[in-house]
Amino acid sequence: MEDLSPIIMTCIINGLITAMLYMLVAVGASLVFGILDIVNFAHGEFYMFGGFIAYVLFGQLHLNYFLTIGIAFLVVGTFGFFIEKFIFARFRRMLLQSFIVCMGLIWIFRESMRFIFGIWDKNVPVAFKGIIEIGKISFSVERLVITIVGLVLIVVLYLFIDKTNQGRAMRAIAQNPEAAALQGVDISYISSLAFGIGCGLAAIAGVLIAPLLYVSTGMGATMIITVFNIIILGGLGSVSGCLLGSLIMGFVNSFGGTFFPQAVVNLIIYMSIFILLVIRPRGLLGHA
Amino acid sequence: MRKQNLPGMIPIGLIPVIFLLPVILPNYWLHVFALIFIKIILCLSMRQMMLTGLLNLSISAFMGIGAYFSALMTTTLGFSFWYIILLSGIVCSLIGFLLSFPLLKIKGVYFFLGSICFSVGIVVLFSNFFVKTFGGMPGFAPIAIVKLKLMGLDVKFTSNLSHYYLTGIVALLSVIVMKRLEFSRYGLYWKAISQADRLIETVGVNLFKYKTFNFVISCFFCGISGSLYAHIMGIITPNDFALEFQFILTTILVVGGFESFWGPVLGVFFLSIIGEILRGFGQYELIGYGFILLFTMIFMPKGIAGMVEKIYSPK
Amino acid sequence: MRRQISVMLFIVWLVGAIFVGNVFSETLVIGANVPLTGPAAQFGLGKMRALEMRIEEYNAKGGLNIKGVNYKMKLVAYDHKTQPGEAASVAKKLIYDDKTKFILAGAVGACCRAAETATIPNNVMFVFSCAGKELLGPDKPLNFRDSMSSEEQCYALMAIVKKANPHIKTIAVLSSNDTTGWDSCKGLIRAAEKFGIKCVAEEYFERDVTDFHPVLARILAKKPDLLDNAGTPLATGCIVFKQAYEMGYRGVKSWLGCGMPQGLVNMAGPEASEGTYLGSSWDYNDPKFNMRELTEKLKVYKARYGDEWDYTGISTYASAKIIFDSMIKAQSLDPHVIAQTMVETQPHQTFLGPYIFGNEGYYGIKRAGMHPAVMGQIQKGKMVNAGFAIHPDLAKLIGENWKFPQ
Repeated sequence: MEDLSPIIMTCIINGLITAMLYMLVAVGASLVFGILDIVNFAHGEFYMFGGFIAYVLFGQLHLNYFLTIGIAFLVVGTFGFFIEKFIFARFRRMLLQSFIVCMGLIWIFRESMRFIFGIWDKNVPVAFKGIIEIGKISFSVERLVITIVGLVLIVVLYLFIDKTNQGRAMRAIAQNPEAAALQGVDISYISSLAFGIGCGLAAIAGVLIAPLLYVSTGMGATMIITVFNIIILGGLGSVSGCLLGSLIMGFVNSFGGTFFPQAVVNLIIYMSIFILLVIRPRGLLGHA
Repeated sequence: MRKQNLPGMIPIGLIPVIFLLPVILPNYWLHVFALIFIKIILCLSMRQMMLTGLLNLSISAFMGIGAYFSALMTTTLGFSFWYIILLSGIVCSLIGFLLSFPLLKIKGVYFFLGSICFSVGIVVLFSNFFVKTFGGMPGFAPIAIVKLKLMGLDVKFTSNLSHYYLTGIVALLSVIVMKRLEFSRYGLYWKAISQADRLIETVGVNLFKYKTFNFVISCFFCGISGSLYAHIMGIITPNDFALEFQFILTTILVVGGFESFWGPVLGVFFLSIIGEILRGFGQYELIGYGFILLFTMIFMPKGIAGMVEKIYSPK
Repeated sequence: MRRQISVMLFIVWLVGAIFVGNVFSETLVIGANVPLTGPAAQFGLGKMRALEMRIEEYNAKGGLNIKGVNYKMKLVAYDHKTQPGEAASVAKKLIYDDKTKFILAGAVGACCRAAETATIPNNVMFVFSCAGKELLGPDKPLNFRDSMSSEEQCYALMAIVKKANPHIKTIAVLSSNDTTGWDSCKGLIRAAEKFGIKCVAEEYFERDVTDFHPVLARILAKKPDLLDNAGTPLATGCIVFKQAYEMGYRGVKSWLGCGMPQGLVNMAGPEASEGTYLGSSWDYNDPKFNMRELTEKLKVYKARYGDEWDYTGISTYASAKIIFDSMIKAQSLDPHVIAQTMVETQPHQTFLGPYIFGNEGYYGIKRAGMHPAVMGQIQKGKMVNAGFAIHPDLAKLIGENWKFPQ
């Protein structure tokens, strides 16, 4: 039997990196569900916006990479804030209608980007060059940096939700909107804020992934299915559930994809999610 | 009560219109209408599930099961379409019945997500497994042509005209069946389920039985539409039944208005015709679609049927 | 009074439009059934523009003069959105509504299979670039492929790669899970065997996968000498090579179906793309392996559309000329007659070099477009032409020692 340890190490490292990226996109969708009670299928499109911002600011204008991350968060976050305020606000808690609105927005966003940027997928140059080799395993410095940045952001998010007033308000709304309103929480503002933050985080994920792969108008579509698997797994509305779900999904894809055909892995994932929904719909760490 | 009757009376007048329409329709539009009829069956069956308060996004998946089953039976195994179309419906009903045990126990948004899971899983199944039988991603083609040998008539259903009548008649029958179900005792129970399920159970009604019946009937109609689709297109691929198509059906339902029975029908006609008109706009088609959706949601939340009712209702 | 005048003017206009227009020229509708949105949009746009340019050229010269009538051509292109159901509907619309007998651009295997369900029963000529054995055959004499598919190219690619790297004993192929992918991989494996190269891994992935670490880990464990991306679409294939390089792969690389070499260098990076052998694309500016006309035309395309032109678009431009010239030669608008003429009057001189429809041995009918196949290689971040090969069917008509004019 060949030496499996380099493959296993590769799987572990890869799983972690993938999980980090998933987490950044998924946490926004989870927050939105917990606080606004709508399933935002257009979430992947904000991830795509982040990617294009990376292409324009970092790729074309050669701005500093971390500055690009910051700008992406602010620009897309604000955009998301206003989208919620003016469009989604009417459909809070209306599942079907908000779903249709998402469909419409997806088409509008994707096609607009296609008009502006053309049909070819865009390349973003590598931000951190170099390859690290440890024994028989090698991976790029870029991936390492991205993982670290992702971890930092998740810690920041945790602190925000735990310690700040707005974070507490969000948790209150997620638990019981009427009670929160009685306590003086401005539901409208906090909802829009949560949505904006979620979109901003997705945009950061887009900036982070851009140098690793490429930027295309379809990147949201492929991401959104994985994101929903994760938030169902972790529990709709739970941020720690999101983390757990991302780790599980990252490792399952990484190990599973290496040792089994991807199609089998995908099928098993969908079947498992289905079974999970039947026996424990609130996911691993979700509230009832 | 009155509001229901006006839309209710329309169908009888429509029947001769449907039969005579091909006289004035150009050939290509017969094909468009054939697809419209299929979508009508699908959207009505999706709406039927909404009567019990369930948003079922696995409609396209069951259509796919029906389509592949039908294509296999007629093309690979050589059975006659006329038996197989019914059999496709029955097979889908059976699968739906088996699925109902786990699926119907989940409520609300979780059912919604579960049906999405099932949908995606089915597409993965047909794309990657049993590729020799199902054809994999490139699809299953060619599919056998429907033939009718009856009393000296030997007809091959290859022309757009034949497709129009085939789908039109099946759609008509489906509409009649679904309408009668809705206004029967079953429909009453279904609507009650969506209102307050706990309350009904206290009166001794076995909820689960009626929910299951609803789901099974829904699957039956998905199955026969799948069978129709396979035989008029001549080729089916797993992506034909993926979430994109399901989204289109859902959109039709919402734009048409899902509260009234005729909402989905209006929605199918409206969006299909808009789709054809936008086709000439090439790259602008999808963006046009997106804006139409947005405006409909903001200005016509009850859909087209809702607007029609507003116009006809006493002020 | 005013109303009567307007009615009469309307009638005069109507009569004029119907009759006068037809006496001096008729319109010939040329259809295109291509992806303009969705993942395969890059192929569709290039082909549509190719037809647009060709039709303009011929219309400027007065159109096609057939049996005394001048035909102006009109391009009607619809987007099939990479969905087979749409492709079938679009084909029907082109045939029944726009009344065309020539659909001269098609892409994406499943969509072409869907479209042919309408074109075959209606005797419509259908020209496309997707790979797949089942798309051409004696039962579909009006189906033509205008770009060289993997089947025609892999022999050439393997020959050139093996000659430059005689140590290669094993190959791993991976590609997208579709007809082009299957055909490319199987063709490569067959061609490789002829050169004593054994296949140690054959993998297919779904169109939207972007993380190849799992599948590459599996492939690289088998230690292949040569890694080929087969029919993978542009952006995805670049990621494959980039991630393979990151994972430590330093063996030989080739990519049978790479349509845009500059894209490869940009997206995979100069180190990861170094040394990759490419089929389906080559340096269009190197006079040693190109017709001058091709180089010139690419500049025109870039100036007009602001985009790079890919191989499938280029081959449509070449095939359209062959078809229009055959219409004039045959003095007919019957697709069957034109198809016959196209095959009988070959080889055709195009900006890709001498071009024929052949490979009867594999498909049973001469419908696969072929021309001298130039294979490129990325060297120091630039594409360089590594050599070219001529398919045996083509060699029969132009001779084995044919060379590009200097």
